[in-house]
Amino acid sequence: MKLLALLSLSLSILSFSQDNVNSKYLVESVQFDKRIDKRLSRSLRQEVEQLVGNHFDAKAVGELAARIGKEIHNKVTSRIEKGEKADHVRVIFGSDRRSRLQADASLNKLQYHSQLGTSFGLEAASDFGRNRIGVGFRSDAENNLERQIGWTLRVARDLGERVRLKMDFDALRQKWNTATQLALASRPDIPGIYRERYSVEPAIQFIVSNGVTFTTGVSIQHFETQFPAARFEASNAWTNTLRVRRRWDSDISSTGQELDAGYNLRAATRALDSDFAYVRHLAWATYRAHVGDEHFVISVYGGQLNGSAPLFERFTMGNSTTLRGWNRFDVAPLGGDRAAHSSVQYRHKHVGVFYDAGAVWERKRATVVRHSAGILLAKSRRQGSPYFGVAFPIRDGGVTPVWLLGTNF
Amino acid sequence: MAIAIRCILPVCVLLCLTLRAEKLQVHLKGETLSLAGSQLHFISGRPLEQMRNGSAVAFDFQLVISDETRSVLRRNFERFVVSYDLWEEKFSVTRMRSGRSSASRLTAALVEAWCLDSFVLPAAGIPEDKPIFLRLEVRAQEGRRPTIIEDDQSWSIAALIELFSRAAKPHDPQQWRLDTGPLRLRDLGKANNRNGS
Repeated sequence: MKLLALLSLSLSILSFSQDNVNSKYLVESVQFDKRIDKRLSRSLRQEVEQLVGNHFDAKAVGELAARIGKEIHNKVTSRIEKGEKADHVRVIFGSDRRSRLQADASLNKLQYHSQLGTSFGLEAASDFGRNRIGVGFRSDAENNLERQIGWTLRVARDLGERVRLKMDFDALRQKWNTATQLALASRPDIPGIYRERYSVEPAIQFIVSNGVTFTTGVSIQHFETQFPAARFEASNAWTNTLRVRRRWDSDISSTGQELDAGYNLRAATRALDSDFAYVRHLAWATYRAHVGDEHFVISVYGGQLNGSAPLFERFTMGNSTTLRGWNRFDVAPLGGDRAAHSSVQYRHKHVGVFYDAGAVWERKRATVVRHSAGILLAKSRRQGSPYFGVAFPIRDGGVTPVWLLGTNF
Repeated sequence: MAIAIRCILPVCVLLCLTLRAEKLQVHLKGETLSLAGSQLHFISGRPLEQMRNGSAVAFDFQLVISDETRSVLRRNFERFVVSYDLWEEKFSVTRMRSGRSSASRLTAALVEAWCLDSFVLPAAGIPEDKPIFLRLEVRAQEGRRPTIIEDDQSWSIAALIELFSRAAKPHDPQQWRLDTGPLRLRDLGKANNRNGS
């Protein structure tokens, strides 16, 4: 009896979408709102347009709405209206006014490096009208010389379709590696370590065109240096970032290309009441292509730092994303003011290999280019899925593998 | 004093009957309990808006019969899927679980009445002379894929129970509830006899 009840209920649920009385009508046309129309790929658009001329299928429409939402990173809804022809309907896809699709609480970073430890970031965000407020906590040993532990607050507000106001607050404590502290002892020309760092970064972001954004703002950083005596110092800089993200799809949905490139300029000046004066340039480009189950990634980046800058502005290399297999404290325990890196990665379904080459150095000092290679196992075929990997620094003498685990959401 | 009580008593009885009429109405037809309730209007609010946008909305019905100590004696579930015909501007409804049946070209009120009329419960095994309480809960699925589909047959019914066990949010526009009781099956049977049914 129970089995019959279960069977009937399961069948009833599976056929739920077929009990829509409008499934007897033919789809006359499909329509998208402006936001979807600008960002929808050609291949997915063609799939959606195949609805025309067929009977309305609520399940198929719902699945297409979900896929459109993933592609344009926005919540997409669907509805139908009477068509112009009798017994026909129009399918209309619309997107949420809020330009971000994000869970209310998310893990936005998780990485493990067998020599650097675990880095993670958690954020809980919510929308209040056009405002988005996110509170987060992170412990990050990847991006700087120090491990940063602390709280973040992100506030964003959309002004129309093309402008966003942003304000980021960070309250971080630092943990320093012994190698960095020892290296600093012989380098009085480099600003020393700090224990706490607080930052406020207001900015305006402009959506210049499809996939092109320009962000300009100010970075106000206050940190408590330790030597010769504990005191607070300021590093206040103008910041500008130009970023281009484009995607190209062919008529075959299993192939596609993607480019993510950008340039960031940070200029600290005493006009902003900064104790430091420097200019930092950073440029990057990542090109991805996939053909069926074959995925290729080529990435390059380079940076230059002129002037006297605190340690968090210096370039580092040797973590889960650059010179994988190397420990950044072996590469440069104090980082550098010049950096160049390139990486090539190939993946077939779940298994991939990579090759990294890069150098971080200081002006007027010798440059050492380092190389590494490794293997990655990805959980799924999609970009950004969790992975497990092993990387090998290529050097004379012994080989010490570095284990990697993580994902970039 | 006795005269006053005799005058007040009919008013009280009338008041009780009126109050009873506003609650869930229960009828005993042979060995089957059936329901009626003019106060149940679930074709409204967000579900109605979803239907007018072309979506089909599922309404999960649960009827719980309990005794004086609120111990559950019997529980029954049903699902009805309702959609709105954009061209005919009428509703269609399908009963999904205990034998598929459907009706179309109905108004919202007729759909609500049809669902209640189609949601029956065997009366066998329910004590005839003890007071029982009935609660009808209706919940609209929000259009997400129903979470009751499970491969493990051993707890799908439990999943239904769990779905309705979640605390009802106050003023949740997608949940409706009607109660009635205490009543006795024996009295329902006598009422049917008087009415000639």
